[in-house]
Amino acid sequence: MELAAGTIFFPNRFAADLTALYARTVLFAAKVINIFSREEDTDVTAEHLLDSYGDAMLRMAYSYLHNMEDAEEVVQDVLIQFLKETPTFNGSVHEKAWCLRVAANLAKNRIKYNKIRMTDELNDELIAEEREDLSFVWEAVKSLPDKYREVIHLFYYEGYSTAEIAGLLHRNEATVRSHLARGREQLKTILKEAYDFE
Amino acid sequence: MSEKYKEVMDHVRLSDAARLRILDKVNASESKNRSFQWRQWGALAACLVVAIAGILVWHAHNPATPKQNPTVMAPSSIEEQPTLEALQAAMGFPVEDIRTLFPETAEFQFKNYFYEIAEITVQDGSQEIVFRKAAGSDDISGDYNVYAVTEKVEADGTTFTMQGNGDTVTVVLWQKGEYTYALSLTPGMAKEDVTALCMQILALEK
Repeated sequence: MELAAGTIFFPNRFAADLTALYARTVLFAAKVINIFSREEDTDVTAEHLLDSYGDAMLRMAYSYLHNMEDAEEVVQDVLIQFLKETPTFNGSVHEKAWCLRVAANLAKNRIKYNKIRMTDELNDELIAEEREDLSFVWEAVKSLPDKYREVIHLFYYEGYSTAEIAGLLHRNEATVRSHLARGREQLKTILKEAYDFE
Repeated sequence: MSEKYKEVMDHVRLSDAARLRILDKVNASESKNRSFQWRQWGALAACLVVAIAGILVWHAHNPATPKQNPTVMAPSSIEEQPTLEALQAAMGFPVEDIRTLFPETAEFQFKNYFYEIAEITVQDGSQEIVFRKAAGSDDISGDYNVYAVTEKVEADGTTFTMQGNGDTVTVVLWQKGEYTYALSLTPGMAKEDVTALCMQILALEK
């Protein structure tokens, strides 16, 4: 069997299990130590996520929930989860992907347990600005099933590739491409001349 | 890029007031957590004892031998595996060989997510089936849609939760022993076909 490059070869299963246990124990200890050592940094770290990705998380949550109060609560819950889990990130790309994935999951949980309000401030704002063209596009995207809408949002607004979306949503890339295609088809049907999702 | 959709979403922004409100609530939540951190000192001490014991037992059972490859593996969050055997080795638990349930023309892809979820994707003509397995009891389908119909089907001592639109089933969830399973079907399949497939997978677990 060909091993992936960089794999440590263990002489037996017992050694592999014990080393994995040791690694997990040390990692847990490091996380506990990190919680104490970064007391001064807690606000900065959560604040850093909010400053860097707050709008992105809000938009992600809003695309599911369609109202600002619920979407803001999701952003808050993402930061609280960050403080609980203390995940380790490999750079800003990983940071943002984590934030968006958790925001999506928390938003979907709210839908699942009927914890959503029925207002849509975004649509109200677009109508107040007399931007019926934008309201039309928003209503069309809103009408999509969640699995199409989230892919449309991540692809067309956040600029992720289908492979990146698959990783972010824990989904198969072929499924992501299929959902993107079907989402586009439905938008084309609704929007007709107003369709510009190319 | 859709210019109109971009213009729509640009309207969604965190106001300064919202930002402060969120930070206040997050800080309040963190203050509560800190009051319980004294328990973690005890957990840290226990972890160190286990770590030291682990080192001693490991060295007792494994005399120093040259490593086959000195480079330390940096696990990726999502890894494609070349074979089912490689997937099982990566996950550390057996994964049902569902290849035997499909014709030779079917194509298979093996992946692990964060070394927590084992996934086999089957492409059988126009039918895609995603099979997932993980330790625990969570819903690992990755599908959070609300389906019109959710039905529980009992078969061979196992309860299958089937979700779909009534005519077809799109997601199946079940648990067996210490593992949780999920099937995602694109397009959805008839309930009878899905039930038969689940029974075949159950038979592989034995």
